[in-house]
Amino acid sequence: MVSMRRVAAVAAVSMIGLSACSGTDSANSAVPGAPPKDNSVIANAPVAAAADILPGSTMEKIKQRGELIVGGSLDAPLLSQQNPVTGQVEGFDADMGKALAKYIIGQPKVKIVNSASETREALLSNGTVDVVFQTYTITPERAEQVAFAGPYYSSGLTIAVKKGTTGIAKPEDLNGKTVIAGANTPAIPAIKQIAPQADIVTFGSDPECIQALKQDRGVAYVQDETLLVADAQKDPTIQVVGSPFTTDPYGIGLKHGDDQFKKFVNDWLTKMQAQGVWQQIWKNSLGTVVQGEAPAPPQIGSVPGS
Amino acid sequence: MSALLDHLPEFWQGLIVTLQLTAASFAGAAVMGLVVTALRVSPVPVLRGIGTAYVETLQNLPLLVLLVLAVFGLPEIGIKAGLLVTAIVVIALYEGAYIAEALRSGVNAVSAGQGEAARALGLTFGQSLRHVILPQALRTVVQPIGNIFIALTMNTSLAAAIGVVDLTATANRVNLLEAQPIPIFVGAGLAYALIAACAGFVTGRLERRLAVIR
Repeated sequence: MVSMRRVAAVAAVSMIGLSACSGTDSANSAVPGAPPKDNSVIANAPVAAAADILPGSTMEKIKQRGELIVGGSLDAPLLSQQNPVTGQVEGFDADMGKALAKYIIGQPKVKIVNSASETREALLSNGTVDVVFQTYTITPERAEQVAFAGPYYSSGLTIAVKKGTTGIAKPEDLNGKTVIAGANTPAIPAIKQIAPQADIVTFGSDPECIQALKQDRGVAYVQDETLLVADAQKDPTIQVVGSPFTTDPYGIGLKHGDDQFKKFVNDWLTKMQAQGVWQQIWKNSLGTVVQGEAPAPPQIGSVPGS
Repeated sequence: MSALLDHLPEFWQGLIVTLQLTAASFAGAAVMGLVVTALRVSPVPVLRGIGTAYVETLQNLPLLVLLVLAVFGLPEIGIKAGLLVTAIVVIALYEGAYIAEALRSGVNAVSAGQGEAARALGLTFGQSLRHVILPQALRTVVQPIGNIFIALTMNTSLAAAIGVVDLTATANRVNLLEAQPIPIFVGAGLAYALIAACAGFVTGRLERRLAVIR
């Protein structure tokens, strides 16, 4: 009997792991941002004046196509995650994409192409996608290959541990320890810089990293603060320590050299923030796990590379 | 290009992990393959059934599923090993099924008369396998086993998904910093191609050296 129960446990856990891989576990009602109230936010989003859609520009091409092609994720909770029930992609990045589509086309018509950190630059430069909304941290290296509008959001990395862990209070404490990080996240270079002696193990998705932390594959998990706050809220055995130790300005990835489109997107971002639509989108997504009012949006063009 | 050259020490470390994964899991797979082949050609129906079940189970599940299961599922029942060890064991068990099938085709290629002659001489089942059947079977399947070795080398890259920092994981990490996917992944691809080319060269030589002249 015991062995049967063990087999069942393994099967159940593996199912969790598998669904985590495919990123379809957003049916979980604990994932916030699901209520369909965000449609009203997009309805309030601005639409560009006809004079702003310059003839021959990228905006005009998108308008004629009738659809904005966005490079993004389908498995990032609170940011850009597909709801398996409705098929809709929900979250902060997803709604920003819809709002931009509405600004150009008049309707929030978006096609999300699932991009990855390895492919984003290529997808933009060969024109497969028009824009990238994917927690795309602006760096000078990346700015040589793509153009960044924004930053449209600023986030930071922080540390989560199993409840009751002692000796980890600041990022320097990670030296000499095994640290879990999401594969292809800015956490990897950030840990290397602050705690060079840390041993980093990476897993593909956030649920996998949490599972690995709970199974002692590492003593700490470094990830974006908003994600960790959401994780800690869902799982009482995990706690977030300290405050963010990096500043990651997220930019809107555009084709390199398309200054006209970059200015257009920056103008849109200014209007979104002035009219409070940006703040409303934040409240509907990230704001469901972070206490308080929407933060002040970062200054556009304030980061090297933007 | 500088994206690649600036990170040579990291790539070297990743290549070493990939080679460790490949060598250790191929050794394990070879042992597993031999055992399972012996099961599948044994005169005892139960053992043949076990061998068949093993091959069918492992060949019909994707390697990534097995890896994720082993890394996240087994600790729940108290079995936990390091990530590299887990990856080696899982890849060895998985590729063992393929080696067993290649070996079995080699055994089938040995004419029935050889087995009968061995039995007529009074050799036991184990002895006839060891001294008569397997030496001939192995020589005919050098090339297929070389192909499995190459496939195994490529499959080790899946270990990157469960936290092993092999060549693929290294390429991902360097790309995260440099945002130069084309030189970085072409570089990593060339390293894999080099391993595969070496394997092809060795199996070609071995096949000519070991060919049975009939």
